[in-house]
Amino acid sequence: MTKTAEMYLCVYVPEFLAQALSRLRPELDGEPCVVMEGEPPSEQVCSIHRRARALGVQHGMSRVEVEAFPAVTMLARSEREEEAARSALLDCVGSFTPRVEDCSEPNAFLCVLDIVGTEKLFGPPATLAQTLLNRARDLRIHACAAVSGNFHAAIALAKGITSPARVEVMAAGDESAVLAPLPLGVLNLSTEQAETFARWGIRTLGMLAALPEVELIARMGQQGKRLRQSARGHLPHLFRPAEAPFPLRETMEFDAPVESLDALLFAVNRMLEQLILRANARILALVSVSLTLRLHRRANHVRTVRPALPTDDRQLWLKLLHLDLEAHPPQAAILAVTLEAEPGRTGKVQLGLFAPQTPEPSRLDLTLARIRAIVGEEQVGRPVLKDAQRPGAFHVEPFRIRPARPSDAPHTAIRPALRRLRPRETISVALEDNRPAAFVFRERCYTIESAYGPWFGDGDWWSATRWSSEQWDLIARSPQNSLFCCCIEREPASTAWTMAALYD
Amino acid sequence: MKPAAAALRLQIESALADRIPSALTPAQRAIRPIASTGVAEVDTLLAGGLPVGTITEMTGPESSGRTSLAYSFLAKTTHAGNVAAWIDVTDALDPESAAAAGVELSQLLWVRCGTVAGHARVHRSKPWPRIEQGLRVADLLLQAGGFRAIVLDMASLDPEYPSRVPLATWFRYRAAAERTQTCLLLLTQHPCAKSSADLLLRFRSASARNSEATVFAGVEYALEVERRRFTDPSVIPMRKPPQSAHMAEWRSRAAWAGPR
Repeated sequence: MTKTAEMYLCVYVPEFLAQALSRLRPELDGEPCVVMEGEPPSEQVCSIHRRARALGVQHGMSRVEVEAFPAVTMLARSEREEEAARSALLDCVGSFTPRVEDCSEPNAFLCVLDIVGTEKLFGPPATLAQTLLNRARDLRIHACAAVSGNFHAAIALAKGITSPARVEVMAAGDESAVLAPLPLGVLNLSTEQAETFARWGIRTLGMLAALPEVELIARMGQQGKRLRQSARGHLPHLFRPAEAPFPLRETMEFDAPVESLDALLFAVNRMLEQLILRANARILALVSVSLTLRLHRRANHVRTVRPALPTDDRQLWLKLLHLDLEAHPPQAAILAVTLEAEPGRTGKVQLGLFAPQTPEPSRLDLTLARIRAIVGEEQVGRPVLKDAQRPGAFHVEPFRIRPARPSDAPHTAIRPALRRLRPRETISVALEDNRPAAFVFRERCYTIESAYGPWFGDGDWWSATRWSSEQWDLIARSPQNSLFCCCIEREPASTAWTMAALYD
Repeated sequence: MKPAAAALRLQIESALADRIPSALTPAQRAIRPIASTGVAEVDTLLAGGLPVGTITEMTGPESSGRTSLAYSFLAKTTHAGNVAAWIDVTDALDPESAAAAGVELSQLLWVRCGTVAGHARVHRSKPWPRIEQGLRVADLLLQAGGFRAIVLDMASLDPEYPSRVPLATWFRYRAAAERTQTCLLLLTQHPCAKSSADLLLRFRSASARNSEATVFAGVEYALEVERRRFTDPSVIPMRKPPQSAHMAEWRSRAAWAGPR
């Protein structure tokens, strides 16, 4: 398999903020104008039109300084218009290739197109670039373009073009020679690097490329090496094309308020069908679905369902939403319903030949949703111990199947298991010499054979959740003469005993 | 020689076919998978461990070792990469204790029964809602499949309540467990699954270890196999075989008692 030669086209729009504003104001054609940014009266110039620059206006000038130039028009910065202009430009370049990487800078629009394979459609790179600039001019934006086999060389060359609407094409192998006369400013240097090069007397890319590599790395580190490679047009780049957002959203407004869940799910079923159809068209599945219900005279009711794996099984989604809505029903009649889905890759599970059998993820989601409907939301999951000294410190997390590698169980001795009593039950304890001698638990009297304790515990004294306890481990005999091992507790200053746990 | 023997056997079998079908052909024996409990004495008694795809009932009074044996079994199961579930009808599971016994908590689904709609706790004296929730959850998990072990913990309930569960329920669970190859463990104080349980282990009242004068050191447990559906009749001996043991004894040791 031969490697295809790379070819990049960089589109550079200098002073983009000013061009974005003047784009929709034909009356400013030919007029010198500047864009002001900041809170009045301390506004500053952030972008300058070409004619204003010719008059001597510079970046960072205050309003008073600009007012010294009577012909200059001051415009306030508008992020909305900038975003509109950016979208229009991306649409324009997107009509030539879908592989576009947006590398915009604060005051400039900069994007790079991967134009490999477009020759038969749009002609040679120079023709393609000229066509693209003409389209941009139709949008009333003046850009310049550069073509190179190296990503960073194309950017540097485009930023080095001084006259507007000009196309430069760099032949393969000529990168060093073409970039050599360009100033260092095209390389996005940090202030410190710029000062260092100025001290060394390095002003152009050619001078930087001529520096010895080892000595440059010794003084500036790997960043120096990258700058030298950029200056020679050899810096490699991993192209990351921007992906257009893919919103999956469906809304339906009802003619009359809906109160029945079945009627709602009938509509949701149709909407889910559309969402899954659109996702499938891109070979995607749904990761999560958010359901927003607009209620009559109430705040919106929002529920989100996220199964373990992305799926496009409509019946499964419908059942999960049904169970979720049954557990959390809306408190008023429904006026409108909106479904928003997050797309994702279809779940793939590679099963091993000898891997233990585990529940099927989608089926487990449904089962867990049904169990939650029976016992409650927080009563199902996997227990996770907290890093705390307090007895019984744990929380419950949602249960997910994780691929686990079989391992031998750690060789631990058999431990006596504790069975907690939640809530604890009050017992009456008879003491002899300050040690428990007998107790009554669930209307039965137990005689204590051995009592181990007292074990004092204390913690969280720095917060409102302070706890302290006096604990005893007891070995007792029931009236039927069977053994009964338990753990009883009381507050240190209290006489009320509780049964905390049983050993089993 | 061999063809002659085969022909002779065929002749005898065909002659006796109307009275004794396959007279000289040993019956095919199903290999029933077992899973180790992690307690050597119990594994020896059960010839390897608990049967897979069946209901095993562990009955006995409080402090008789049902929970610690179940923890030990779950530790083995979860460390083998399997997934297990603990249906906690009385909300008595102590995660710290389970982790200390070696249970991999990330592989354990814990379902705590006892909360009804509206988040009201069910009172202990009226455990029917809890039992009903536990049975419904067990049904769902058994039908879903994929769980190697499911523990239905009713160990703290008075015997009168689990005994009233209809036998049809246990029969259904048995069929589902066999289909999904799940070990369903019932922790109760009195047998309730009757003939649906393939193995019935009765835990005897334990005795305490008094090896330590200052701390609770552990318990000495004892269990008896009260009923086992399938034994191993691979060869029917001519003589009465020596009777195997029905009792196993083992002991637990608290973590704080230290190694001895």
